[in-house]
Amino acid sequence: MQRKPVMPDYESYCRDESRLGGTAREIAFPENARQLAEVLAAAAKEKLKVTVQGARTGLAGGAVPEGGLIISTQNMNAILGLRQEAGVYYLRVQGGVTLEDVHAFLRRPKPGDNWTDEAKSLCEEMGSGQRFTPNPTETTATMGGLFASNAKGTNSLGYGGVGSYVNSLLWADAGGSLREITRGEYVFDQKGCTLPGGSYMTVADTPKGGLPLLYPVQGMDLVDLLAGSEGRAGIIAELELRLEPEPAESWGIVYFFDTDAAALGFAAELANWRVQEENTAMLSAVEYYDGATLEMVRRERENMAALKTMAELPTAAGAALYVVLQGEDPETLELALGEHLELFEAAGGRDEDSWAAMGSAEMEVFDTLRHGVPEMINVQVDALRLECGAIHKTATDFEGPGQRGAEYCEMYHRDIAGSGVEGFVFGHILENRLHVNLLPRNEAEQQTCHQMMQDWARRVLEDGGLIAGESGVGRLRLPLYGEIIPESRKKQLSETLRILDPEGCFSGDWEAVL
Amino acid sequence: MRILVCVKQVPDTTEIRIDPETHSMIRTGVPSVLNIFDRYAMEVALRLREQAGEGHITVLSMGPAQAEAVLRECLALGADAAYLATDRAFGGADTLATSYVLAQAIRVIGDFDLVLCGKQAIDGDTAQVGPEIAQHLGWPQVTNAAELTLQGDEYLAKRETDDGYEMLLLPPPGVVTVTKPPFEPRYPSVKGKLAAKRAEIHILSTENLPLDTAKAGLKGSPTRVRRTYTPAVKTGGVKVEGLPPRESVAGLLEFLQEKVPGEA
Amino acid sequence: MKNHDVWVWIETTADGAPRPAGLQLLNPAARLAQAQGGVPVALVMGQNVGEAVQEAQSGGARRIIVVEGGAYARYSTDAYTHAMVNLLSEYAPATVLLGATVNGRDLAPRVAASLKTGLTADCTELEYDREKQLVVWTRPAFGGNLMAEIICPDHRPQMGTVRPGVFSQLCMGENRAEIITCEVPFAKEDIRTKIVDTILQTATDSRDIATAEIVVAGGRGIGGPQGVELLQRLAEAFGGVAGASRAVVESGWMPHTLQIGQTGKVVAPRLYIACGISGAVQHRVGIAADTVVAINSDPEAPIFDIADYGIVGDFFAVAEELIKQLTDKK
Repeated sequence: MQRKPVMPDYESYCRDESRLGGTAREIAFPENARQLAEVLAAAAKEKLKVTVQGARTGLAGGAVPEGGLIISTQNMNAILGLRQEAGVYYLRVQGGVTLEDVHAFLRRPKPGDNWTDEAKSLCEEMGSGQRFTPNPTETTATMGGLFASNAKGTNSLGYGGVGSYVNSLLWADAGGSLREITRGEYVFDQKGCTLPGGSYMTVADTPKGGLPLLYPVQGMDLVDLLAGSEGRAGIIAELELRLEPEPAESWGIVYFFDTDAAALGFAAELANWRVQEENTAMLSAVEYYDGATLEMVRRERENMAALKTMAELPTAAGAALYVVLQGEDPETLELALGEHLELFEAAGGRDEDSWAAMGSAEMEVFDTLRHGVPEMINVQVDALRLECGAIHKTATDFEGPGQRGAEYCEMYHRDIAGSGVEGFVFGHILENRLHVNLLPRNEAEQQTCHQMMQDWARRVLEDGGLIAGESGVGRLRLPLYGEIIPESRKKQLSETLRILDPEGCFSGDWEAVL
Repeated sequence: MRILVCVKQVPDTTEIRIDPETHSMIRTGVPSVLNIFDRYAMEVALRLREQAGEGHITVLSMGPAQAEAVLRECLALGADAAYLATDRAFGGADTLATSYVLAQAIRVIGDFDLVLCGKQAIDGDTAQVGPEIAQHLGWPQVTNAAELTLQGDEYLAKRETDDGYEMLLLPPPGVVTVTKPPFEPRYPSVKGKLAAKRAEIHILSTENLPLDTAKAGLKGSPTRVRRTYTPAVKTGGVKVEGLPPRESVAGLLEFLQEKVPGEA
Repeated sequence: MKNHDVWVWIETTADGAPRPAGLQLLNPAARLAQAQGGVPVALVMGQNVGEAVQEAQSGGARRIIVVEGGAYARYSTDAYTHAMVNLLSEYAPATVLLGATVNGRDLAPRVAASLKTGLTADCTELEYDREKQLVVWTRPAFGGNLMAEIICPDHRPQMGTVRPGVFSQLCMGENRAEIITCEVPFAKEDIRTKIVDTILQTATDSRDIATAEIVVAGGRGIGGPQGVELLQRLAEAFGGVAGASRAVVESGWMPHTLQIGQTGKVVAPRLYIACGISGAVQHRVGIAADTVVAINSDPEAPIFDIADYGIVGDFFAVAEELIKQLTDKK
């Protein structure tokens, strides 16, 4: 398996969407599991540090190399086959296949030339109407990358992360061994679990310490442990994705409010509604956008093709909630919508300040909004960095206790206002997974931002939340929060990594912190 | 003020793919949508009604039964009534036969101050149905209007021309075709969307429209499609490799002179 | 009275000057007329149309019908439809061509609907089927995904609008045309629409990449700020504007208002020159150019897949050479 020097042709592979930059000497582009294993085995022999990359869309710098070898999975992009078991379809893909590819395939399933006849006819039979349920907004990300960060989709409130929809893995470890790991085969009991290579991993006996990754507990499946392992435990050569039929009905509604308080009040009502109702209408997303974010959309849409064709936001809107409702029965959904509308109006909303879409095609435009917002902020950060090199993307990925979304939101806004830094708050309000993006204009403000983030992180930890909610720890967050994470958890993490990657081939930078 | 908006359901042309083997258009799985220019026309109608502080908006479409979907979209946006002209006898119509049926429908529904159409439908791109309706009705027209407002008893249109804009006053009743306005069309509200699901769509056919059936559908169409084919796919262009810059650049400029006259 | 002539509407501007779209059509009209056994006829309506008549003559018209008068001084749907319908009814030519200009597409359907005949819009090819004695009108549909051949078998005249620029104007200095001045009375007051203002806008802001005619865009391959400077000089040499890929904007070399692609602007220039841009899908969706030129040192760069002309080579060397040759030409 050929390796190429990184400089000068592959310089861009030293960075990712986090805007962090690193260095590496060589890069390899394996096309299949065998080549991947080959390149890993060779790297192990030479004791090279390895950084695995998908589409480099991560926000935490997980794909940024620190010397050694980059393994890019971008050429492992084949959809390998389809099978059916107990009425459920499973799609097998290489780790470098993008979510976009998966969506495109599911829209118009077309079997690969080298598929088995059985898979081909199954593909015909399946037709369209199946979906990969967790639907992360970053569709250009690879499936391997999404699994490795256990990305959460827009519908995470209803359905959870990517990991739970992966049935089986072809796993390449640091030594270059390939192992098929299927759900149900390796499950942690009260003590631990014997891993495929024969080593034994005990369950964690430390607090979670704000990090969701590599935290084995009783009853956990190894597949779920590896989900979110961020390329530090091995590389995903292939995955088998569990598909689900599209829900018969989906509604996406953007509710606009004059004030933040009204939006947060409505969110609280929705949370109550959600636990009270035992109907089949599912609230699969409730996303919040604050006034600053809406203002930025108004200001910047001209510069962004994806948002240019979106309707003007209501002029009075000072906050918005995007609510997705899904279910099988149209009547139930309409009933739910009616109830939501009442709550909306009770919270001071006006029907004419709501945007309603039914079905995935109509909802697409709202998806561009949720995807466009972080992109817009990145553009702003880049512009600021032109002025001051010390500035970098400063965003939180905290997940506080679910019921306290409004309280956290108010805290973020209060602190941002007090700091004088420009800031934007948006995200999954019912899960208290709000993204706070800050735009420091100079080094002093950057410092202020760091301080604020650390203070918030402490609060999150105190409350038993996560400091890396959905975009992973990557290269960004360990140094930032290293002091806050309990020593016992660091030790557990380090030991767990050592079991999966004894030579520290994948986790050089983490070791320094741990 | 009574406004009628003509709308059409079209395949989403951005989703159309060409089968690389048969070179034919793949239409299965291509979603049907409200023609974008008709959406603009609908938005213009809503704004006129807002400006006037009163008004009734009717939407009209000709097409198969499933074209009902785009009428419901318009109802959700705020249209007050919807009519679908659907009949086997209307099938295979060219623009003349289509505009004839629509004009007859407009006469029957009755009493409009303004008929709005999208500038053109994105499947056929003819831009003919609007003016032909106007001719059948004997009404004045403004085509290619980017904006339309009320001015006294008349409509003031900003018409995009080849040289810029013309501001035109149009007395009612008249026909206006709408191009991309300087604003984006709105989305329906929750109430609008829910109400539209239950609203009645009035069906017009040869049974309740006064028609000379010889003027409708394929029979009433002077034009025929003799053949369709997919245009030659754009093959990869010239790629020059391993030449010194002086030669490759000279080659490029020669190419540009032919391909993009007036440049270089 | 039926004849085999091909009529062409010579559209004029407010000052009576002919627009190229009509003059160009005398070219295919001559060919079709010959096949049909008639002559190409120019229809000129307006005021002070001397120049239009002259140009129609040298453009190949064998007969020129001139309608002059105050009501025709500027294009109006009402007056022009009235005159054209009257003349076509009187002369009954076999075929009528109009340029698919804004006014051509305003007038043609009114006339066709009045005469209850067929009209084919925005044609890009015109052929003649000698056996059936019909014009075969070819036009794109479905956003250009499909070409359709249209005929109008039983109704006369057969009418069509033709996309401007498809045919080029003939120049026959010696041509002698018969000029017929027709009176078609129409009162100015009977024009129901009133033009209250005209806003001339010859070209949109050519400095804006979204509307520029020529865009020279740089990607990571231009190397850095030095490359940006060269890119701007190259854009100047072409009389275009400089744009940037996402990578360049992210690196802070150029401002984000110049970014092209999914997260930037969509550009639709006549000519797009991609310098050191690899051409990821996210960038390509931002390009709606007529002609794409790519300069890249990586022969495998996907930008070459959509380039009409690609040069594999070093940006600095190629760009400097381009600027030199362009300046030398001038």
